[in-house]
Amino acid sequence: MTACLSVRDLSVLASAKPILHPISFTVSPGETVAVTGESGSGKSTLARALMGLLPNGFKTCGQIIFEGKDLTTLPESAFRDLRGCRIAMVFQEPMTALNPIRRIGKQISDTLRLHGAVPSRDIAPHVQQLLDRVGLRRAGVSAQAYPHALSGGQRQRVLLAMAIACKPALLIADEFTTALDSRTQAEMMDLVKELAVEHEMGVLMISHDLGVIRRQAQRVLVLQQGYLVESNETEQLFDAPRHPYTRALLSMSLHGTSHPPLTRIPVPTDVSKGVQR
Amino acid sequence: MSALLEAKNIAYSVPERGSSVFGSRKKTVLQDVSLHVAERETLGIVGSSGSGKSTLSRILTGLIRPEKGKILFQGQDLRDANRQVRKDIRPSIQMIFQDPQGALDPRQTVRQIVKEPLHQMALSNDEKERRVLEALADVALPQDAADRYPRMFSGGQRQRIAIARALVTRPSVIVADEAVSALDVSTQAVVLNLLLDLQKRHGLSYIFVSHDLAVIRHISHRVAVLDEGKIVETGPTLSVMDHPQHAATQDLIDASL
Repeated sequence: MTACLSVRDLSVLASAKPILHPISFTVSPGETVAVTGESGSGKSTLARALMGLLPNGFKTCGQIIFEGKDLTTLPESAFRDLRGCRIAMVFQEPMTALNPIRRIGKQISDTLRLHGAVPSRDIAPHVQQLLDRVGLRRAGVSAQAYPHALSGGQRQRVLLAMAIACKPALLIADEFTTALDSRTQAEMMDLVKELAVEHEMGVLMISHDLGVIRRQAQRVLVLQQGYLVESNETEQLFDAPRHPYTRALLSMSLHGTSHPPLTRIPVPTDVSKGVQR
Repeated sequence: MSALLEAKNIAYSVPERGSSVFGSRKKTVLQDVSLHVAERETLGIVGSSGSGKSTLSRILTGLIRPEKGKILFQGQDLRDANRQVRKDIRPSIQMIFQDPQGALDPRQTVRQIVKEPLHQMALSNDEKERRVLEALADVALPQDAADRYPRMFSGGQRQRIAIARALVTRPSVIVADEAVSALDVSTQAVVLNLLLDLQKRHGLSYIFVSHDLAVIRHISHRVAVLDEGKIVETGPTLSVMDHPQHAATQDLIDASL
């Protein structure tokens, strides 16, 4: 299978200071790859680099090959056509990502109209289809609803409907389910998984939640202070972590580990001080 | 063990969506909820979204009034208490919220933020300043943090600022509503360790509200399971988690990853 995204020796510099050291990986159609690490490890920088949304003064080296094009050299105007259409994104905060004074149906149709994904007479039925697909119709949410009337999980579904509106080849999900409770989280993840298979969409998920990653991803990349310290198949990574930092991350998580309650959790500060390569 | 903070038969409801002001239908949020926390104890309240967790924590801290039932602090009914007594009690019950970004005013310095709960207390300026620095030291933030703004801190540090603000009045109970849910695992571990240390050091009681069973299991002595506004199960943490009696508890355990 040809990769839908192929990253080669990508590094990011902020005013000549490296914040992401050369990293290479691929994402295949229908596959979910997770990126994890502590805050400050470079997870979000990587996501932003892929979307061409790095702040001014940041420089990238290496290549990001997506659908035969190198995104690092793509002019902004061409990138704008890709973003939201071929590469879609969903974020953690559904309330800030949605326009509070616009009906959700309108916000979804905006995406379709902007990218000319479907002829204008088909937009309304297409919006209905999307609402149906993400399970909002079943929950009795109409296209006329405003974001404030929806629960957190429902808002995330709206974002997901917008993201898949143009049938993207790659979905970047940055801490997408972090703000949801565990039951809603599980529902959302199942939905994303189904959609990935259905649309042969590659998913790059950024998450610090190892429980979510174990359930969702086929492969995991572990970042520590801008270095890729380990990457492996999910099950192997969880069963036999090779890098001390991965082991430390795993032992810090309260999920699936047996820390005696009411005792301090071992925080491997010594591990996060320096990167062992 | 005697109760430090106690809720008795709390009920709360909101007008149903779409109903008119006249003859409005009510939607029950909390129904006959009773619970208590003893000194130096942590009570975990767990439930899925919409179960009434946040409403309950706001009632416990006095941010909203229950429709029925009462809140007792050291046996004193807060509703019967006169203004002065309430004013004296209020500093003893503090709250920490989920989103430190939203809970901290971006235009205030950390000093102003942490000092704010002291405004209602009759303390000298020197004493207030001393308390602020003491609270910052308690959460292991450097002294020079006081003159900086929230945006200059990471998520975990911001949550520590919020904890310092809760500590500054020297409370006996802290209600924490999803206090570590927005933090990544390593930061979560640091903040949980800090809360455990503070409990030992100051003899604090916590009411720890969360949807995250793993966190609740780690930090609580006892748990209460909230489902559709009712407490369906309560008991020592490990016995509830290992031998759940109610379907809602089992559901939460199954959904927990």
